[in-house]
Amino acid sequence: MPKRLGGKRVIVTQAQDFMGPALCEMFAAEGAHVIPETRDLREPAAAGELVREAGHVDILAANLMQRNRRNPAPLVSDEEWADMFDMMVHPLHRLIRAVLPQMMSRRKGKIVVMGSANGLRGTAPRAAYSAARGAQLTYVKTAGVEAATHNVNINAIAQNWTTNPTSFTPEIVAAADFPERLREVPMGRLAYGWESAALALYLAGDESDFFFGQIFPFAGGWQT
Amino acid sequence: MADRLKGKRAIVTECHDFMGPDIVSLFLEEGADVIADDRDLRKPEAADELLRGAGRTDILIVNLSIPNPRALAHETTDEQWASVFEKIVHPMHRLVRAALPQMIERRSGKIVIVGSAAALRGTMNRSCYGAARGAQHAYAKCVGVEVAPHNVQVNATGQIFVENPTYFPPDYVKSDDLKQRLKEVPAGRLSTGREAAAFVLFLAGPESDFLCGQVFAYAGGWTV
Repeated sequence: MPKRLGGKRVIVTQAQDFMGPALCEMFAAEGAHVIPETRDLREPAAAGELVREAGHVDILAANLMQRNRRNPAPLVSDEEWADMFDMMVHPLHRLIRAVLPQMMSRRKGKIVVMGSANGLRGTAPRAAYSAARGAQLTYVKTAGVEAATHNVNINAIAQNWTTNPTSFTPEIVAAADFPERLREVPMGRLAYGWESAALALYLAGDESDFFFGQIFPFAGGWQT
Repeated sequence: MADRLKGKRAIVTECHDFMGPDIVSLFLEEGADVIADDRDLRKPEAADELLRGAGRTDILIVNLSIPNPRALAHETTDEQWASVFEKIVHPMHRLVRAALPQMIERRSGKIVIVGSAAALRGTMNRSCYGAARGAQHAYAKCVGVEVAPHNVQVNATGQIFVENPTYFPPDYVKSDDLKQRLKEVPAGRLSTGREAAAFVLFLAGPESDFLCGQVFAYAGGWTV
């Protein structure tokens, strides 16, 4: 099969966390020039610097993750609340704001946001985490429709139950309560990281040009 | 790109209508053994006969259409109502019912229901058509979750503004009515049939095993 991202320049943020490793591996295997990014994007200037240094960017994989602390809403401090938005929401806007102008001027570009199904379905105790994930998805819908007029595709994957080094670590998967938790998932298994990356590849590639501002649940039937 | 369906046997119903022609040609290019079927599926035994005649079926594409019946709700007769469900809803269940046992037994199979965004966003004069398309989506969600533990994936699309001989034929594509409607579409254009078929291919192919019971709009941002 010919490479599906041959010659494309791709930024993957938080390249060591969440879906970063799976995305870098899949995109590189498909011929992309991957820029695996690891800087702290909480710094207000960081996203702009990153995009400036990257130069020509065909694809942005906005992979932003902060571990859920599992506090019930009454126990979520202002600091925890702000931390979720500082890690996952504000950098999302800054990244997209920085990369959109060049994509719009070329009338071509793909932005894939690696979001969470926690932004779609209520689960306790995840108020702060889920609110930030929900903000990501609503942002994608609105910015996605806006960017459509410039032929730039912004879409999001809302995943859950997917193997990754941040939220489904080997320790979590090996825990005694995990089989019980997995009973909520119709598919009855975790997704491999590459399966989520394959959906990201579809959304980053040339076959998805008609999708704008759309959320793709990816959760083994947990969220239909 | 080729061979994504190599060695797979795929049934495509109503092969001359709606998304049939584009799905058949793309699947053939991707190496599938395609059973392009054009029998009248309104007969209660037709779906069973089709599946029996086909033998091993890895992929079932439920492509069912009825020329867009526009009618006000209070003027829709029982006959009109029934004719829509008989054409696009009841055959869907019979097809899926006939295909599932062998897929469950092999713990492998993909069913894609090619649906309509008329079920995702209200439009005038389409209460009957929209209800029938909505029945398809609700069915896909429930069956999708039901058969997920057997590693069979059932998913649906909800498309609109896609070139196809049934709903967006060449003559209509040139009309002023369509130009007016396109103003509502963030994409600002129609999708080609081939682009839409590529998404069906993703759902029928080997990279989407973790998606089940999912309904995906395919509408250029119109449903966002």
